[in-house]
Amino acid sequence: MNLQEHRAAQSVVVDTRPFPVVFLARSYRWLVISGAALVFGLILSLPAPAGLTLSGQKALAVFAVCLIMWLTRVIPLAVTSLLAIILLPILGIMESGEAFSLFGNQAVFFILGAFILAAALMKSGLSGRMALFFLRRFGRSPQALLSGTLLVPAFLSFWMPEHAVAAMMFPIVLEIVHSLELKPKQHTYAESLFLSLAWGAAIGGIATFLGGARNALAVGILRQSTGQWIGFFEWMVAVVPIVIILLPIAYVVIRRFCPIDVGDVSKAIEVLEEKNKEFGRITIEQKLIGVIMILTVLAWIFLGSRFELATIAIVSVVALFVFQLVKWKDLEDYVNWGVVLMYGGAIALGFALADSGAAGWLAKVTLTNWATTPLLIVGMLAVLSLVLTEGMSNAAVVAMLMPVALGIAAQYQLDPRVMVLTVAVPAGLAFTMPMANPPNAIAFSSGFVRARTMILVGLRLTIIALIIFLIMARYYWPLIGLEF
Amino acid sequence: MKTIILAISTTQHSPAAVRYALDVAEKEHARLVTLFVIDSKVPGLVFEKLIDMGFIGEKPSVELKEAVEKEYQQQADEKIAEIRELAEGRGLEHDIYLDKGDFFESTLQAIAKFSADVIVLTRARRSQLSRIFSGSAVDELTKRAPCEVKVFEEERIRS
Repeated sequence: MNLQEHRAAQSVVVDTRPFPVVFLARSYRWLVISGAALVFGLILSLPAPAGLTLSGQKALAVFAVCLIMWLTRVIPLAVTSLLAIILLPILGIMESGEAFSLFGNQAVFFILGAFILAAALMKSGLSGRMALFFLRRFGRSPQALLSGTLLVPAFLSFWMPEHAVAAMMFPIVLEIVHSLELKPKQHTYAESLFLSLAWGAAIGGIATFLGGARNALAVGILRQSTGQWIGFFEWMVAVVPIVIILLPIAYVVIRRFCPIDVGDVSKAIEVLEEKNKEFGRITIEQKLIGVIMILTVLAWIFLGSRFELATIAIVSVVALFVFQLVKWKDLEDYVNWGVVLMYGGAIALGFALADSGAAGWLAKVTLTNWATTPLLIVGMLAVLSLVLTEGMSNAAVVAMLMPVALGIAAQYQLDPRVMVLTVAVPAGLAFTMPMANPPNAIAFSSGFVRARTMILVGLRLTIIALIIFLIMARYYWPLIGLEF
Repeated sequence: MKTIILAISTTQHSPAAVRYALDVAEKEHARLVTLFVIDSKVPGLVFEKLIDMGFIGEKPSVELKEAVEKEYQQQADEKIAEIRELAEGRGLEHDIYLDKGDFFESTLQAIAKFSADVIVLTRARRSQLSRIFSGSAVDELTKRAPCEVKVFEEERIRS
């Protein structure tokens, strides 16, 4: 065989993995879609079980299909939500006008407004400036710099999406690592810096409605289904103490398993100072955006119940355009409109499940045999949320578990607000799998973090986070009126 | 003259594999080819995650993807320069082959291109289960490569 023939032969790649694995890998997508269609048909064709209305059965069929699609992501998450929107009126679960109007849900507009505000922060460079401003102050030692790389993304994730924070700070952490001449898979300090970035952003992202839009989605489903509400400030009061406890624990865990193997970080601080100089003086535009952001947050905290969070968000968005601080092109570049579809569809589906009684029925059949105490219910839901979020989008976890959680709340006469927090907070704490969420994927993609490290250390942090969460839920939440 | 290919990537490289390749090339007066494969899958996956799961806009996602790709290129350049210096220090005949894409396919192509006699690989430390489901380029190369294959396990970081 000459070289050309050899090359031609080599260009044909024969997959020699076990046949079942090859078959699954190559026909996975169509198997999933066919499976979802089969499950849909099966649920509809069975006689309605006792306690479940026909409408509820149909809602469950739609839920099952969406669950499979959200879990496997064979079609984009947002498109799965669109599927829910059209199936609801097709099956007669609700009128099409009502289904489509749920896209105009307040939670959806709040999330949209928050994303546009975040876009203004990113486009203007204010978020990058803030990151450098805070990070520069942690340069006394490698320990201090590591803590800064955990705390700064955590703090920023209070005010903008955690995924955007991780993406924005990734080049900064890369610069730090390069300045210290750290090599991939040769220095644990580099690993610890990227893990701090990812996990700091994730932990901070649970603190407010802004860091993780899933939080606002959960509250939106709560409101649409029950009329109850958790305010911007109420959420912070319930969750920020958990964040404050988790952050130093994360620092200790990271240091324990990724020992510091550098002595001096002054070169890193020089780089950060240099980058800060490149920003120049703060511009009028950045100042105005900062002022609008601060006023918006204050309005959410103090005026949220009077004027609605969504209203305040959209007023701020309009202000950005009135003062010409953003252009429409910026929104096209920095805002992903799929969020409207995803969240609108999830809220519509949640409402359909609650309204048809399917959520209550599902809660009864899934938990009756195991749920003996409210703490056990909260524990089981938190574990489920934590486990699922390692394998799927946290927004999808919330969309999937919230209707069931609200059904459980109604069934066992628990405060539904506790259920919202039980589902949404653990859903944001994905530390283990490298591709579980964008911050983990960003850290892993640097080439400095080994998958094995993230999995083993992340698993430990996840277990600790679960324990902290349950302790706070059991002992702290009742003090602020969230009893169960 | 015998040809030894040292195949490394952004996720698969070890000092032991580099040392072995240099030692054998020196001992047997062989030509050493350093193949560095820049992983193109991971940046794409991260981009997808940001867009599809994170609902982040296209511009910051593209910027992040480009930052990752630039980092991989830089890691490749540094690693190649390091190996080149070591090889030249030992007076070895040394070639560089930089490729972007899938490690398995790039390595097979390099074996054919350079008519390699030995290929030196590094196996990343991960579970057998993940190897079964997502495949192992190193295991496939061990079966398919038309030359001798030497595999080194990824080393723990000593600190």
